[in-house]
Amino acid sequence: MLLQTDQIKMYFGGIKAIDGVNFSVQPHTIHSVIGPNGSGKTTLFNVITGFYRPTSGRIDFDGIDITNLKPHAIAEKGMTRTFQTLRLFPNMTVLENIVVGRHCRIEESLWKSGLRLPTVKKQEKAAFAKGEEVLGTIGLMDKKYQLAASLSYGEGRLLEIGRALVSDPKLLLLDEPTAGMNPAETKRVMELIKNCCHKGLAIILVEHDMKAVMAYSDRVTVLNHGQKIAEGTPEEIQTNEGVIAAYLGKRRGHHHVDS
Amino acid sequence: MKEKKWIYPVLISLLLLLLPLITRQNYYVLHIAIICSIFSILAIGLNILQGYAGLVSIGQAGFYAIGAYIAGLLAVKLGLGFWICILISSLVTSLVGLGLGLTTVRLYGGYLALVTVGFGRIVQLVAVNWTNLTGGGEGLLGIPSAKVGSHVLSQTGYYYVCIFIVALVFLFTGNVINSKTGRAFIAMREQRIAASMMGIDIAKYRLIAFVIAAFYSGIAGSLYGFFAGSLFPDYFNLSQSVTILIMVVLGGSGTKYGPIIGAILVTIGFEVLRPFQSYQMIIYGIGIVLVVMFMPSGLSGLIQRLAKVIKIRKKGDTHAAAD
Repeated sequence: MLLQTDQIKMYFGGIKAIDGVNFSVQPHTIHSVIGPNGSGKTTLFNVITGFYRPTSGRIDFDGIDITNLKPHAIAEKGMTRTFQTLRLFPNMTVLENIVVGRHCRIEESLWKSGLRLPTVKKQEKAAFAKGEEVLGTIGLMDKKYQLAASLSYGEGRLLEIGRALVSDPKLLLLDEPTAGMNPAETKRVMELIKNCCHKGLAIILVEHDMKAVMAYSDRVTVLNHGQKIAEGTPEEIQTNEGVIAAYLGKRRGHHHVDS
Repeated sequence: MKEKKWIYPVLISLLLLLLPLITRQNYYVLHIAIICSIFSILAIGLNILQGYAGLVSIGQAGFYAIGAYIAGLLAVKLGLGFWICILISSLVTSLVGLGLGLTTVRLYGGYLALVTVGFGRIVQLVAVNWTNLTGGGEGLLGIPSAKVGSHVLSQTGYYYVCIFIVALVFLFTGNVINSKTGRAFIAMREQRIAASMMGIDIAKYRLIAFVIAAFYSGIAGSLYGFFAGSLFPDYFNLSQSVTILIMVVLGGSGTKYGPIIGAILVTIGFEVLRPFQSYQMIIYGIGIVLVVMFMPSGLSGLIQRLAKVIKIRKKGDTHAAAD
């Protein structure tokens, strides 16, 4: 098990955004998290990546308890993410944006950098080479010297994924990577994600495009009101009555007859 | 164009090295040049903090004062040498920078700026009121002239020491900015949350920025102390902090040459505007408003843009227009 959460709860005052979720992700899989708006998907992401500290519960990642670690420390352990709204570094070039993502894999002390020692030169060169390699993968090579601010929305999303990939993570969390994209762009992103998974990465995906979720996921977890209401393969989820009820609402009459 | 890139730095260094010769060791010119160097160091430091890391400080005169007073006291009371004074005072000043960084670790923008204003004021008040140590308003007097070995530095010698230190500070800073640390600074200025998710320890890099800026201010303060020979708390007031900030913003915050351009222009500007002393700050105020509104990357950005336009005119080169 690469990631395991044990009864995590995240309360904001009286609001139970996440209420006791057990959730685990196997290596080399695409694991989707779906649920209606406000069901706690993004909160779950924020808790897992250390952005929020859970009210209670425990999170293990790659054999380590990361519940109380800060985001940067969790990133160092090999977990990175993208955001629901674009969070690029607008006044840096596309290539620099990517290289920032490599931060925790570069070992340069302040003194060595300041004196520009050969080891620093070597590492910088390697980091930029790695950055270009990733730019090739995400298909933004021709934009590498442009400012990130000049990218289109879809390109920005790709850049965020690239920036998260460049540190060679074990687990990548994608928060609605295809939001606002046309079908062609969506396909491009989903294929990219699939390829990453083939190369040994595990992916947690929050996504509203059900077609994409069902086509690409190995496993799907469904949240509603901060609780896990179902988990299984896409086929199992599609036929799960609880899930259908959560998404479409229970039919009153039906409900009445049942009770 | 690339093969000519070295030509400007070489020309500028040559000019700086020959300045005493060209001006026949003109006392006034060298005096201004030394002040320019000292403020360049201060502005380079603040540029790291404000320009790259996005942490606005209006209290740099506080660090400047600490650097000056510690170096001055070490020289006056303990009779320590020039270089050792600079070293100790810069280290102590950077410790104070660490302290300020730690106490403001969660503050940004206007809140941080306000605390730094308070910090500058506190330092100034300590200098005024700790009279048995600093001499208070009467000033700390009798700082000896700088010596290298047993040789007392002339004004020309001191000028060379200053530009040598500016060069070191400039190169060191450029290298840091072109590394992991510099990228971390810029990333946290641009998008703090994303930066932390990329593995950047925001708290740590904030402290690094504060410490470097304070260290540089300590150097600048020491250089000022040995240059002026006496120190008065009044000199390190709020408008001194604002002046340093103006230098950075006017020159171009977050640019490589900006702080030096700003330091030189503002220092010379002060001299030119000396007859209108009471209007100086008004003129700079208006200047800063115009720069912020119309040239967000300052004069340095403007020069770059002009250079590009000239390049295009000259060559009819469409490539230059594209990038």
